Amino acid sequence: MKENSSSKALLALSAAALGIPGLATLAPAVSAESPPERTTISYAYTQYEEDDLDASKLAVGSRERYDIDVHQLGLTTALSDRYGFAVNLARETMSGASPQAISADVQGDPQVVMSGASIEDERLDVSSSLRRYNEDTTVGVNLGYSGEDDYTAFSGGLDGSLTFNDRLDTISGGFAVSIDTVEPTQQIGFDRPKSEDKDSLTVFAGYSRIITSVSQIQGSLSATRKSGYLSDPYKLNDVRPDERLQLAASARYRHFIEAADAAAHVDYRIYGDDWGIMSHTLDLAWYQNINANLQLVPSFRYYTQGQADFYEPLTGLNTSGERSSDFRLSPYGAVTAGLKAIAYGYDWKMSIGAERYISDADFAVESVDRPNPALVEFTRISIGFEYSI
Amino acid sequence: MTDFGLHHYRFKALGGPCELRLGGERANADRWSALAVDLLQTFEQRYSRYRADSIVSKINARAGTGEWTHTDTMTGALLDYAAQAFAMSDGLFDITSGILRQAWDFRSQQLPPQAELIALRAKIGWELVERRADAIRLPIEGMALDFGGFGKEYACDAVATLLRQQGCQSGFVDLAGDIAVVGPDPAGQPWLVGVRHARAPDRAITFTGLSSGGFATSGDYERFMIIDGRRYCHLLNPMTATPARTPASVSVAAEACLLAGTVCTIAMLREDGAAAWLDSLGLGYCLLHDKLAAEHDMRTALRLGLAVSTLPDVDQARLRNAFNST
Repeated sequence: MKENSSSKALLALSAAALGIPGLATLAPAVSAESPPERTTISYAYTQYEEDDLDASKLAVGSRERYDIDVHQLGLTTALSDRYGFAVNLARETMSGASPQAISADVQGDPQVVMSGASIEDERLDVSSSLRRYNEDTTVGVNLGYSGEDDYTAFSGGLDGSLTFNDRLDTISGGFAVSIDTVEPTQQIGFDRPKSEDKDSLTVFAGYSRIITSVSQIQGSLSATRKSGYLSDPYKLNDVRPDERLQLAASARYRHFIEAADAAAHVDYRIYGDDWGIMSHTLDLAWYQNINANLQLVPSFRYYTQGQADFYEPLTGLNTSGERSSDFRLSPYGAVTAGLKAIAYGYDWKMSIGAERYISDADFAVESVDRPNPALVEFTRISIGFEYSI
Repeated sequence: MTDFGLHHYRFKALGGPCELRLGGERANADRWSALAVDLLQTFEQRYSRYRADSIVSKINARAGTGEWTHTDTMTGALLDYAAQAFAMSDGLFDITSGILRQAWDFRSQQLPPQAELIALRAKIGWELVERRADAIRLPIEGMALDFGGFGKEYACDAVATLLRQQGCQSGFVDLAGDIAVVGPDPAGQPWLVGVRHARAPDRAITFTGLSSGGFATSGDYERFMIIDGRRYCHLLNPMTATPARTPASVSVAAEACLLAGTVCTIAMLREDGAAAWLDSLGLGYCLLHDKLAAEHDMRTALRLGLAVSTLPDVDQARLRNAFNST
């Protein structure tokens, strides 16, 4: 048989036939893991704005809390048919005052001692990853750097995945390390350390399974061990243990509902650590297709946590031993409601979203005697743009 | 007692008679046939132009409105295939040409008015269809896609694949003459498949053996009318908006029923160029000219390079000669 344009056209037709689901067993060719087919560049801007502290909760200092502007740039590309590469850059500008201590007013109700002047800081974050794609497995390595005036972190990690059972099941796992140094800005009257280190090691494993053509489940476990200086140098009388073991388990479920042309996402996460904190997170999101080019995503999150063993509702001035009155270690609950719109084109994607976060001791599952007055509320607005070449 | 053997199932699907022959235990074969019926019904729901809720109807209903219709992976792949067939046929295989049926009624015994054909012709052309990675739109009101030209053949392959995945090793799927083999017969031999006689379609003009892949036939006897001695059949040329002057029939064996069906259709639409084009592909085929079909003469008609030895009542030497003479 001679090679001619007709038989080449037949090969092309045959290849197109093989692309149709249901005809795959025509040939032994299995779709192997592969790096991204197109090069994608992305940009995102996020504005994070914490509400001012309620005047009735302020003991002294500024009411103005943190505002953060984040600019992110990303690039994802294939280096060959086996290797994919991604790099991300983020620049954050922070301003505002932060809680330093919790004191009591004349009635004995807790109030926040805020830092006086507004803090201005910048953070630069660079991360990159390289991934190799094999027939049924992928292996990735990543490196990161994050730097601020008073904080430097280097991180790295290795991870891998294996898919089996006709690509319906995937297991993944890996580890990550981070080595951080804090060199607090000094202030007269405060006894802050000059330079402290901490490091952390995380190991994680996950499993995901496509149950039907419209539903998928995922489960994951992670453990992190942190050691070194884990206190907050900018808070008064903040002395925390120099070790922390954190465990988390999460389950995710995705279901596409054909009649509604929408996908429901339900995620749950449970977390516990040896500081005595236990938390639960429930995430619900609804990905509604409006048409082929537009998606609307309302979302809701509920979070609740119990306090750390050494948490104290009022900052003690002359105590010894481990102690902190950081609101993040206090018992509380939080709800987040968000709405995002995603528009798709053939080679671009745009998104705009807003989120409102409210935390309150009353939202906690357990009842709280003395709510931490520094609990935060914020609004986050983000826009993103992605272009594929 | 376990009941091994060959089991027969006949039912109607995709608007035609269907037959399954499945080898194995009775209970398994019953289950496989139920799965096959289910798959065919699902396929019909999704792609039939007769159903208002099918994706094809959705796309067609939005023609000319500027609105895009989302296409899932499978629909996208079927459209990619249609695009490839369009390119391979120099525009003869065009899934937008189905609207010509509005003008051509083969029971009427009348030729449609030229003006109607010109109006319809303006709404035909796969090259006009606008596509994105996961969406499609038809730019002209009244334009329509029709998966009828390859959907049944694909469904036939999909059923065979499903049955293989379910553990069926012996059997074939026959959707009104479009055949996909699940696996050789229970004795491990090729299935004997009859090639329809174009002028006596209930009889076989010859047979071929099939152990794998698919087999399809396109004939001018399926829907036609004869006016002033000329035969007008259902294979319409999208360029002229009129029936092609096709051979009487083309049968093709290929690695899948889908490929076989598409090749038959394109060959028929290539009219006098059919045989030369089929030769250039290197697939086994049987082409019957109107005259040859009428004369029962297979010597120059038969090009099926397949398991000739399994043919029982045909002169094997003659067949071999016919095959080798090319």
